[in-house]
Amino acid sequence: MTGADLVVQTLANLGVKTIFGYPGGAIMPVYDAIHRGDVDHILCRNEQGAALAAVGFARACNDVGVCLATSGPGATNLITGLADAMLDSVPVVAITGQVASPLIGTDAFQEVDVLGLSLSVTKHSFLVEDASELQATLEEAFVLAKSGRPGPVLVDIPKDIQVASLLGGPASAEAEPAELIEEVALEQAVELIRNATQPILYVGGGVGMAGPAAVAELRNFADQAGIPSIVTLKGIGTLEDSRDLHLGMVGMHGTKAANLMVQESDLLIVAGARFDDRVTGKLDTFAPNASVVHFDIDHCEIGKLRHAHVGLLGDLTDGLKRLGEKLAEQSGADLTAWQQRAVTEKTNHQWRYDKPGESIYAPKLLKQLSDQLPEDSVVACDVGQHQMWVAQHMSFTQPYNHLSSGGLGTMGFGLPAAIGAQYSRPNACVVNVTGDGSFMMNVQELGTIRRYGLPVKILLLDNERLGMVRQWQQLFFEGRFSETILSDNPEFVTLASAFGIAGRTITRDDEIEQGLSDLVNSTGSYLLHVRIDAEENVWPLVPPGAANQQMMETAE
Amino acid sequence: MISQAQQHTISIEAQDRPATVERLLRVIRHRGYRLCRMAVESSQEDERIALSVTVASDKPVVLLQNQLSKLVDVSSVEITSAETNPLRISA
Ligand SMILES: Cc1ncc(C[n+]2csc(CCOP(=O)(O)OP(=O)(O)O)c2C)c(N)n1
Repeated sequence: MTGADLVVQTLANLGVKTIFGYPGGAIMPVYDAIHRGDVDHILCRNEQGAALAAVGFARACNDVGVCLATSGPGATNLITGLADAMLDSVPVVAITGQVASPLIGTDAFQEVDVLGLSLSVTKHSFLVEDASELQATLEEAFVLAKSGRPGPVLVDIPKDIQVASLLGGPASAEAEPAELIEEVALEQAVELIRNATQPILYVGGGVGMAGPAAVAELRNFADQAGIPSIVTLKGIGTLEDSRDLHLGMVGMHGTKAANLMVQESDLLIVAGARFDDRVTGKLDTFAPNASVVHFDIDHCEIGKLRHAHVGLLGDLTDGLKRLGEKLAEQSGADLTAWQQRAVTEKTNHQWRYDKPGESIYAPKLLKQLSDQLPEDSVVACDVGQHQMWVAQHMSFTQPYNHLSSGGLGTMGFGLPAAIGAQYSRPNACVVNVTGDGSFMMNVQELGTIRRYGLPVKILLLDNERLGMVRQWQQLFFEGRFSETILSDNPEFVTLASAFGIAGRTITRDDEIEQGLSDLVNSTGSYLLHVRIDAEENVWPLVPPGAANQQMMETAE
Repeated sequence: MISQAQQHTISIEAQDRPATVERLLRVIRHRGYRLCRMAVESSQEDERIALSVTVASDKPVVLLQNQLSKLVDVSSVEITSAETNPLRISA
């Protein structure tokens, strides 16, 4: 067989059923092999769409997503998607065609040094230099993508290697098992936890990535220890909002209860989180009196931004279980007053949806959508105010159901991520919640929805603005609205209809119910275009350089 | 601002793959360390590469050691010496 056949066969042998990509000169042998091979290829309409679809695929099922592109412009278009996967630790394998080995370094047609380009946006990358290494390299790429802290891995394959004649063998790529957390470290953690009177469980995206068993173990631990909890944007869904002691999202647009309580804590039990600046506000004012017990799989995160009194490096599921067992042996400090405080803060600072007037209040609409969606739905959002409203006002019962570009904040993430998720979770209702700015960033992917008849639902919150930037201009740039007014948007419903996608526009509060019902109950794809107030802001807001308790709640 | 920037010499052993040295240098720069000296020795037969780099920064060198040791091709990162030099850092 050829190297190209070997690529496709190895993918199939590794259990890959779906890949997202776009053909071109330097990858044509692989496309020829796809034509006769056993892997479904989904043609996206820009390689960025393919990479982000692979991200959405991976995040919705917690397994590897695969994307494919040609050399040069194909590879450069992938880069944003790889960076997204890098910053959110998503297991993605990207395969790119490269000009033939003898032409590398000659400025050949569509030659870009993709290996060089990949260094800052991948966990690792390979240039296959010898045909005999092709299969082993692909297998290693999968192992690396999903082992330890997951991330994107790129394999650049010169065209001569794709056409070389090769022998393939059975393939395997098991993730390397995580090491067990050291006993002494757990003992030290137990000591700190027993003595804490105001502990907070600070949960990030790493818990979901450690797998459903880790999520279940974390829930057990939270129940057993009775410790009030907060989540990051990526931790949403790991702990259900219905828990009395769960205070919701922390940080720049976090809940008041979470931001107030974390600041007063005397111990942070950090699970798979990394003290991101959007979480901490001004770093040296974050939870200033707290000791830190930090669970992570990546040793670089422990002590990177905040000193950890105890670092718990390794297998989270096992570690949480053992920690729980040790805590059960002997009772710790009385937490009743602190727990009572949590319940009170949570009750006192519930979201309010009673906005007067006829117009549509986006938070209320999202709350209604959340209540209507089936339990195992996936919501992929874009970036901006609508993304924060999704995080604040929709409820998720699993982290795999909330796909939000956290680390990179990639506008244009939502539509391709929703497409990817629809493939890894074919029976789930998948909704892209987007803004009028973000939607246009990867709008070409409507073509992918049309091509494959995907039932992806789109909820477009149209404020005729780059809303999040407009909000900052209003608050921090004295109202100079530089390049953020989009009053010349296209007719979105007409645009969708050009792709055979049904839709409607709603503008009034009394149209919400019917609009959402049309969206959720449509059998095929549907666009619900919602006109909202251009002046609406996301509250609360921890302004730049402030501590988390210094939240702004109005523009005055 | 004058701060006590420590100079540290680090020994790195790695597999000699395409881009190994670029990866190491990128991490050193991006994580906020200034490269002062570097020696590289690669042996063709066993595809290994050994580097000795001296870096300066007011950040703890262990953070760099962690980041370098995370690289897939790297097998060991050892801090071999430290000396304190006043280094002018403009904020
Ligand atoms: C690719 C990219 N470019 C620019 C930005 C900066 N940015 C962040 S939010 C935002 C506005 C988003 O507008 P829209 O999608 O309409 O959402 P809204 O905030 O109005 O809900 C911009 C421009 C970004 N995050 N990503």
